Amino acid sequence: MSEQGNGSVSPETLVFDVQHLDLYYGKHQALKDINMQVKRNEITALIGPSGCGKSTLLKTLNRMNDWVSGCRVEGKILFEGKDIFKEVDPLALRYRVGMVFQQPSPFPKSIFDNVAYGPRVQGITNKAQLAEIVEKSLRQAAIWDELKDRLDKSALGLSGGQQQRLCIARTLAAQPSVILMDEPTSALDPISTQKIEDLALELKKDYTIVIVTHNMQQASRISDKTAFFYLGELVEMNDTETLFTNPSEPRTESYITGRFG
Amino acid sequence: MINEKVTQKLVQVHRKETLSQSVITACGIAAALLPFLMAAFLLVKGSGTFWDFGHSITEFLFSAQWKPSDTMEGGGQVGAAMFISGSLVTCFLSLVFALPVSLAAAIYMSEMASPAVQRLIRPVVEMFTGIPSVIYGWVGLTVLVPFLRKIFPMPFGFSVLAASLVLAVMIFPVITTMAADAMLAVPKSWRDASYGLGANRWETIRNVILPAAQRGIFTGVVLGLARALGEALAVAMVIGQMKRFPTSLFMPASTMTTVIANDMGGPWKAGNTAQPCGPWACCCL
Amino acid sequence: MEGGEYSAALWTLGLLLFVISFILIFIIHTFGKDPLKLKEED
Repeated sequence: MSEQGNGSVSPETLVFDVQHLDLYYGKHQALKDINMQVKRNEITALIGPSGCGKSTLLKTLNRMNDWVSGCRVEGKILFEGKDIFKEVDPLALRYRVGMVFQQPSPFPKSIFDNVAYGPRVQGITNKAQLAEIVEKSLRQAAIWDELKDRLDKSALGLSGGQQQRLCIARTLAAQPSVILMDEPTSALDPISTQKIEDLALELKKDYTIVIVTHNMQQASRISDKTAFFYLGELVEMNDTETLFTNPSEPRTESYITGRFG
Repeated sequence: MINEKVTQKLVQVHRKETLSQSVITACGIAAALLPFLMAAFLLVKGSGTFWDFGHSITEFLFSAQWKPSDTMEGGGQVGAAMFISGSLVTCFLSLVFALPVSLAAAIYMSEMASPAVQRLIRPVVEMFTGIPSVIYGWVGLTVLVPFLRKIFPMPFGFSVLAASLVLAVMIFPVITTMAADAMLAVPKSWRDASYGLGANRWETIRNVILPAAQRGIFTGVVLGLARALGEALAVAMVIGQMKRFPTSLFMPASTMTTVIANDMGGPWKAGNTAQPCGPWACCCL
Repeated sequence: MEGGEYSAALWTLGLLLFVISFILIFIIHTFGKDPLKLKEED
């Protein structure tokens, strides 16, 4: 595994610090000795063929793997300096680290109630406050104008692309500092994909984004850093441009040139 | 020559096919027709009280005077309010007992039990829906009634309470299986989204799963209610079958079903049922 | 009890039970499971 970039990173810019992470599903080891850093206000892309562990790593960053029975983790992940397995309450972690999934899955509730779900879970009940947060999040997701007149209608009536942007607004409403995206555009048409990529580039000004993607062009379009995974190992991680134009590992080069994947 | 044989065979096959086709169609039509025929029959027989004997629907539904005469001339009273309210009270009460337990069991089965435990519990609960009602009635008679008589201030043990409890046990598996099915049908993506926003298990159950499953749960409740309303034997064996209003939990009463079962000339009389029916019940098993 | 008014009254009780079951099944049909169909149409 080779890693290049700045030698030392000041703690304020280091959002995630993954140290010697091993992950087991039962007897099968899905992640092997992962060491990785995610910097603030950057888009970090995780790429690699199916089953390489990139989604697994993503889900470990907000401890969603806790819900998978038989999942065992060894090693450390520091979020803003704190060990997420020992020093942080998982629920509080998820308030700060939000996730957007591959399938757009709004709740069968109104658009307003969907976006207000996160704040309500965090204990906000004041109607005016909720309305403010909902509007702010929908604006940030670039979908306020389309939806402002039907906040009380069911979210299931929206198109796929709209639903995914709604899910992004829902994640934003919880006021996280990090957004994890697990192949957010693979179920969408090219126009919606474009909108969401533009959205990610906008959002990175205020948030840190880690995106798992199957689509190398997407990674090279929007990310600042890219990490290539293969069979549970982090093979190479670098500035996106460097990784795609001048990879150091032969496996990386094979994947990028399409020899497998 | 060959052409003739082929044509003959084709005609034979065609005839066989039309035959089986018409048999199947006839069966299908008969099956669809049967409930209508039953409904028509009941309608004719059941409206006799109003046409032939001149009573009014209001009297039937709301009057408490139940003294129909045994003869063809009529002149008696047919107020069935006692039995109607008996049915409604016992069934409503059985829902009150069964629903919380059913919901808890369904939540446990769909959200909390490990897959191994789930595979064990589901078939067990589903099996309970197949137990003959006479068994419920018999256990109620021999175990529940004496027990209730001991711990509550009731003269007989045969009571509205006993009937409601027996019915609750009978409808519990009905409601639980439907509710658990409805909850398991909630897509994993909604659960993931809720957990991803920082909700814990109870918040997810309360805000996402139960609302999403409410139609299935409602269906389960209504099915349970229908089963409870239609139950004659088990209720008859523990309710005491006194022709009175269900004014007290601890006193006997009657329901629509027990009145029909009892007074249609059947042998059930509270208390004596145990002796001859015990061996029969064992045979049923 | 032979025929006559008593048996007619019991038949009416049976009819009432039948009608109630019908109503319950109709309720299930109207109020059960429609949103799932809506979702599948997406």
